[in-house]
Order: sequence, then structure tokens, then C-alpha cells
Amino acid sequence: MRRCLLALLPCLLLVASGCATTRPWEREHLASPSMAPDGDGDREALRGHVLGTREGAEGGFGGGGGGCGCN
Amino acid sequence: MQLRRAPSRRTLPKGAAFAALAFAALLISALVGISARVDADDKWRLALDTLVYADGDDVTVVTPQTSVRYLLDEDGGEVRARVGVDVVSAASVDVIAQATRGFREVRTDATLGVSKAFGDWLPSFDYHLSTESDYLSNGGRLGLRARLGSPDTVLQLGYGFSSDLVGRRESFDQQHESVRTHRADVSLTQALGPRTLLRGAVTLTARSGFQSKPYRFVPLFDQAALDRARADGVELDRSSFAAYAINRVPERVPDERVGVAMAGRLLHYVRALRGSLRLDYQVYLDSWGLVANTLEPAVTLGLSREWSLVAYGRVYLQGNASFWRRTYVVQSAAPSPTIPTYRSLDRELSKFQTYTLGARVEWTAPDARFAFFVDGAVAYSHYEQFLYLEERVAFIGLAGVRWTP
Repeated sequence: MRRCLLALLPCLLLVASGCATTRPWEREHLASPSMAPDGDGDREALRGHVLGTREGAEGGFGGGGGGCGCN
Repeated sequence: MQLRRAPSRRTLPKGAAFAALAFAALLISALVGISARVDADDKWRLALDTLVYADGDDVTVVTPQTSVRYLLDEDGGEVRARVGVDVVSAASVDVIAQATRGFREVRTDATLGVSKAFGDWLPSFDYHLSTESDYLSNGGRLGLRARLGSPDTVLQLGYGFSSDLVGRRESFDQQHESVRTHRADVSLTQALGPRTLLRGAVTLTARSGFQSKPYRFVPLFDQAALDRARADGVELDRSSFAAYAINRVPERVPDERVGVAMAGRLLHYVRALRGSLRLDYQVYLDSWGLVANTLEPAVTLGLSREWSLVAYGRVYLQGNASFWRRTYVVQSAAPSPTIPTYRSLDRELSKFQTYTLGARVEWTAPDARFAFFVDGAVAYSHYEQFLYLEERVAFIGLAGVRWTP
């Protein structure tokens, strides 16, 4: 059941995409560095490397996994 | 170990890999040159980072990394290059339990990439090379980011492929195996209002080839040995297993692995904090029967115009792969002992939990041309079924500077 709900997440996002429209003058907070959904690319690369070599999972927001003989 | 000599068509000599890297560097230099003639403004971004990892299992990793970016446009278009070096010193139970001494190793990792905006579309390509004495990885990723009608909705698609060679350091050039990885990812980021963002992401990974570790040997036990240990009042662990093991065989895991990760991220700006709250959740499942859940909350506090503080936690809960056993038992009384088809000592395939707490301080100059951060985290891992280790405490430190000349 939980897996089904998670699989529905992308669908919910698509539905949500029709729900909100922000005006340019309303985007001040969305433009804050603390709201950057990707974070700092170089820092995330190092973080992903640490996680990818010490966890069995890969993908998503975690490490890429593979690509080296690190563990 | 039964590493076979790989067919020549599957091999990619290191020289060829570096030649490819040099060619890509020349190509990107040419692109930068063209862009520089178009717009001579300062658009360089330099980054220097250093990661230090140390744990109670005698593993230390120091990773300096540097990257250079040249902005091609204001919408994410850029040429980028990143180089990092892992200096690993390890005398962990994984190493010691194989009756070998600790080792010191260097891994070099390089990425070259380019992206260019065309209206609401941002296609990108990245090439990646990682090389060490017993592993070589070449890969690329094609990406596309698109605004769907407004900045409120952003779709990202990606496909990556890598071709890796794995062997033993003393014979890597002569004998190695191959691993190929395909990865597709899609994410959608949606503004739910002036202060809230939601992102959903799905990653599908398919890997085929030699995925065992060539240095790893798995101890085998028979029922008589286990009975004897029980009678002796001994619980098998890294200090006692050798006296009861009847044999050691090379690790072997399935050649095919398909996994899917589904993740969600919620970001909400809080005026009182002058910062944001973030909550990530992710579930991962794969064809080896491994299931992992990750929960990661974070809060960002704006201390002043220049200073900010980020506090974060991470809970990682993982079940074991279907073929994982703490001890692999054979029927030695049989005419020909049956060895388990798949056997592994990879603790990252066992059942474990990791709890991480960390904080990061960031400073950005008023003109935003210089910034630095210092990040520190402590991670505690508890391994429920790993023969050699029950728990591990690790320190992860990360510091970096960002400079726009």
C-alpha cells in the first residue's frame, strides 16, 4: 500500500502543477538561496559520493552509487 | 578469484580515457573562447572544497575538489569542469578480516559538462571519468530541464550511462571485468505558493556485469562448526570466526541489478527564521530484495545578511539483500558440498541503520562574489547482521569556498 502511495507522488505533483501560479513580485522568498531545491552542485557531488559508498541505496536525492571501487 | 581476461572490445585503456578527457577539455575550451568573444563580462565561478571522512573502523578519506564554471547565460547555461582526488587510508575490518594489511589508495575523479539555455529549455551533457589502481569508470549523462509554462513548474529529465572496469590492482591491466550502468531520472519541482516548493523525483538504475568485490572472500561454515561454536559458548564475530570457518570462497553477487528510488522534497520559507525548513523522504527498492528508507529534515537560519546556519539530520534504514546471510552454511557431509550461489560480505547489503546529525555555517560577502562554508556531521551506524562489525561512528567534515573573480 505504501509503495502504491509513493508511486502516486509524481501524479500528485502533476496535479499540483495546475494549482498554483506565483506572480513575479511574489517570488522573493522562492529565490532565496535557502530555497534552492538543488543545493550547491559541488557540495552535493561530494556529499553524494560519501553516501553512495556507504549506503546500499542509490538515486533519488542520495548518492549515485557505483562509478568507483570505493567500498 | 576467477577474474577473466576481458575481451579487447570491452576494454578501454586508461590512455584512451585520458585522451578522451583531453579532447573534451579542448572542446569545452573552444566553447568558452567563443562565449568569451560574445560577452567579455566576468562570468567565471571557482570552487574549492575539501572533504574529510574518518571513522572508528580505521578508515580515513581526504578529498580535495576544485571546479571551474563559465556562465553562458542567465538561465543555467554554463561550461563546467570538476576534478577531485580521494586519498584513502584504510585498515578496516573489511581489510583486516581478509588477512591483509591496510592500504593507501588514490582515486582521481573528473567531470566535464556543458549546458545551454534555449528559451524555457536547458539541455546539458556531462562526461565523467573516475580512475584508481583497480577501477576505471567512464560515463556520460544527457539532461534536460524545462520550465512548463511558468517558473512555478520545472521538469528535469536525465539519462546516464557508464562503462566500468574492475579488477585487482596488481593485475588490473591484464585482467578485469566489466560493469555497465544505465540510469534514467525524472523530477518535477512545483511552487505550491510564494513560500513553498515541492519536488518529486524518480530514479531507475539498471546495472549489469561483475558487481562483487574482487578482494572479498566469504567464510563458509558447516553445521558441525556452528554446533561446536555454540558448545564452546562462542558467538561468531570477527575475532572468532576464523577458528570455525571451514573454507573461504570469493564473494559473488548476481550480475544484474535493477533499482528504483522515489523521493520527495518539501521546502518552506519561514519569515521568522529568515530561512527555510526542508524535509526529504526517499524509498529505494531493488531486484536484490533490498529496501531502504531515508528521512532527512533540515532547517536554515538566516543569522544576518552574510551569515546563515543550517542544521540537519538524516535517518537511513536499510533491510538486507535477499541472499545476505550473517554466516553462510554448507552441507560438508554431502558428497560434493553445496556452496551458496550468491554470498557476500558487503555490509552495505546487510540490514543496518545510520543516524546522522550535522550543521553547516555559511558566509557570503555583501557583493556575493565570495563565500565560504564549514560543515560537520557525526554519523552512527548499527549493523545488525554483519559478522565483522556491529557499529561504527564516523565524522564527516566539509569546507569550501566560492569565488567569482
